Amino acid sequence: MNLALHPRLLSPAETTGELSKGGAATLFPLALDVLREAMAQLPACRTLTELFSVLNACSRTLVPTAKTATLLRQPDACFELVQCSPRALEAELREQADAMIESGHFAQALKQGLCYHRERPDRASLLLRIATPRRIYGVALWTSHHIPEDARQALGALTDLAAMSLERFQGGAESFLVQTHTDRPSVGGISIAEDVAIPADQLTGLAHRTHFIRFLQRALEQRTPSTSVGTLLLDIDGFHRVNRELGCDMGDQILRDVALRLDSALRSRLFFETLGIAECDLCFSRTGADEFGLAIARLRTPQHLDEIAAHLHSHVAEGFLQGGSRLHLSLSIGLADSGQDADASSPQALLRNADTALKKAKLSGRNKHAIYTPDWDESGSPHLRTESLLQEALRQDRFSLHYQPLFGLTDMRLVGAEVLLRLDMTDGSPIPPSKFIPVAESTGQIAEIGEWVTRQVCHQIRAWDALGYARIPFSINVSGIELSLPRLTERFARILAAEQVPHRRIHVEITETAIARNEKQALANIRELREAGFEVWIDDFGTGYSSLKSLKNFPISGIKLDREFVKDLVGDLAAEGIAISILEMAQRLRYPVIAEGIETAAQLAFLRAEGCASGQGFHLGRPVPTDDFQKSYFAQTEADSGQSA
Amino acid sequence: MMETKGDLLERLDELPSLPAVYHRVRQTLENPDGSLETVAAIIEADPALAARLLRVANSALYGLATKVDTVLRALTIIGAAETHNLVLATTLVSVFRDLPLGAVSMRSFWEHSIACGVAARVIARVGGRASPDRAYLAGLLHDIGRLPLYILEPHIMGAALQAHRDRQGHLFDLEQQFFGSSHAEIGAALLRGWAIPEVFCAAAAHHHRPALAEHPAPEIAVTHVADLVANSLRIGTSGARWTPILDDLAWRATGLETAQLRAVVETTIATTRDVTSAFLEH
Repeated sequence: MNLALHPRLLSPAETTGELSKGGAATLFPLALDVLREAMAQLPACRTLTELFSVLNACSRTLVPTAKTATLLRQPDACFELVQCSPRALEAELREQADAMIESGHFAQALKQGLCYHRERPDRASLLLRIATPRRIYGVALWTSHHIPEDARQALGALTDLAAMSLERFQGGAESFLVQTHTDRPSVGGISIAEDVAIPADQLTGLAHRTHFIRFLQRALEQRTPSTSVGTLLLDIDGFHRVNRELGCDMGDQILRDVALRLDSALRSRLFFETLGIAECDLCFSRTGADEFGLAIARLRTPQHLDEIAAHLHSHVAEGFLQGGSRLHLSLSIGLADSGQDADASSPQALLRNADTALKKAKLSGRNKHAIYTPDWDESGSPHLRTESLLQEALRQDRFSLHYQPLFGLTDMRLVGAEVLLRLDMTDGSPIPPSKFIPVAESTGQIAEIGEWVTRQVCHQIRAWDALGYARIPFSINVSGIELSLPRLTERFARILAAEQVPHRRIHVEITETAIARNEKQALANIRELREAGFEVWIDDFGTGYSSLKSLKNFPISGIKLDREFVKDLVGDLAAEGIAISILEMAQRLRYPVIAEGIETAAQLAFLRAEGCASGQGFHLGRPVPTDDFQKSYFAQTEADSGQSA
Repeated sequence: MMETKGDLLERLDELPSLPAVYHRVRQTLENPDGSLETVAAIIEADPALAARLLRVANSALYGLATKVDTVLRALTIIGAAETHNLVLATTLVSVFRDLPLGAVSMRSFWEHSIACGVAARVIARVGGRASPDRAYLAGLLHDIGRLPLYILEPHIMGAALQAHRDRQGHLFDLEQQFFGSSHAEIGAALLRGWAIPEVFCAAAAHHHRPALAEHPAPEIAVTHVADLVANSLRIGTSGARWTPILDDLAWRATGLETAQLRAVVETTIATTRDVTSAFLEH
């Protein structure tokens, strides 16, 4: 900060008597405190309103009895009153300012920097020019019965500080256009309706993305050989769920809380000291719906970026109070450092790097951070595209469900249906589950997708029940990630309770590989599910990780014979042998078996002859969208039951 | 609005209470036959508390010449009166450390409180008018009334904070508007409910308006000034984003000279970081 000594600070006292007036001895140290305070707060101000409230607070401490007004120069070179205190005296102060323009005192202040003038024995006025060496921004007015010399000096310094803030706000514009209120009667005094300085986000009060990018731009331009610019992007994990489950009002409240909490955590001296920066080197902004950006200028030690992430994590760790209980939210943080040279010399490049890091952090699970390094540039991108596609799909309900019928092999009655998840690109081309499910599992999105599926199936069950169709159970696939997390049963039970669907209508399908992921938790989940009345089936039986162990140890309902053992049936002796053995073993253990992937009449006949209870496959019925399922299978069942009745 | 206040005062018992170990220590200290040995034994029965207490005792707060590694030794060095304050501070921070708040993290809250306590201790020592030990605890407890506001009335507090963020006034004044009360009043009631010695209740009650205290005590003035120091240094926050206005009489009552302020500020910054980590880090 270059604070050239302003000539007005050297101006002589108005009368010699004033210098020796009592109170000066205690006032001067107070003035220093006030200035120190102002120097701490002004760089943090983002709007004119904030700036004036700091100035007013400081000025009230220095001259408690004074009325104040600020006039800013407008594009047409007129001066407009933009704030006054007390507000009720707007008319009076406006009149007084006009009188001082008439009398030439205003001009004197503009020319010389200050004008102290005693109009009446009981009233003195101080006019100070708000200006930097480059530009005049306006004039500030104080009026009181007496303004001591020391206070005047302090106010002069305060005005200079304000001018520097205005210069920072203005960013090259010639002057501040402030909406004027002269046309309408003053109700409740002046309000700065359109605060022209730094655009703030209505909801969180943080700076907008546009300002964030401007800040980055300036910070990048001001890099020195020993400093760089750090950028962090922070995303609240699973925030769309908060909105969906608690409603948007609650979501907004939480977003506000997160913003304020992080803002306070960042504007702490201990934090600045760790990084060796000042408050004005920091810009915290809302850069997206549930995304925040933090830019750090003049960063000397980029290795501290890790600590920043840890610092931010620690401030959200305890969670948020929500309707009397604790809501845990976590942040994923992507960090990027501009380096000292031209590596990332545009705000866009820096943001892109931080965004890549953010995606990487998300991929490694929730509540994590990652620092961008140039060597992992393109490798992850298709994956990342799928991830954001999933996010979009969840937000816009772009997933859909298909249903594949299950039949009893002896009487060919419809005994159930497997629910299959489908996702289409925006252009309509399908993305196979083998592509998106692994991504969803690695990002944790699988849990949200799983909830969506369950809810959707429940809706459908109710709809079909209302139409009077057969009350068959529906099988939902549960991933390894979900199976290795606690409270799986609770999740199902909660959704089913809300949808008023009985537990026996949902069958859960799990693979052995999924069990192997966390056997202990999987076992606990399966037990709980069974106790709650859900059927649990082992999917793809025979191809997985440890087939027989799962049969022995887990309280399952039945097994689904993998298509691998069905596809070569009839003719291939090995395939026949395995199929027969599995069916025999299952029979002995009293597990019902569903054969998967029945594609020919011969396969069907073979399995039926070997005592397999039920089956599914293209030969019996392909997975089809909801409407087709209803038309093809329920209409059918209805007709059947109509005939048999 | 007044209902909010009455309602809040009635609901203070919904907050976590001070742990039994604090009450046992206090009884022992007040008992003429009690000894520091007994106190140490009570504390050591709770290993987490004992470990935390040793960390705080060894922090820059007490400036012990050598590191102490037993509770009894720590208590003997700091003395019986300070033992009470140390146990109260340690148990209180532990009880409230991991609770969720709203727009302010519990960590920021305690950082501010600890900074204020540390500043109060330094001011009392330099100014020479208040007892450093009492000033420290008064500073540490001064904003405790914000916790009930956050925990019991999160929505109203959220609205008050938003108004504060939108620069509609000091948070203290906005609390009056929104609750018909303030964290100062609620805090004093909470501390009285816990039967904390009166000087700390009075400091909490009057730290924003020291001139209104019926019985002015140097600890009140010191807490007021320490709160300003902590706020203007911005070490943590209990919600307020602006520094309160200085009460001139309180400033004089601290006995501090302006020239000493720099040293006070520097010591506060240096000490707070260490004390914060002693209280809060795992």
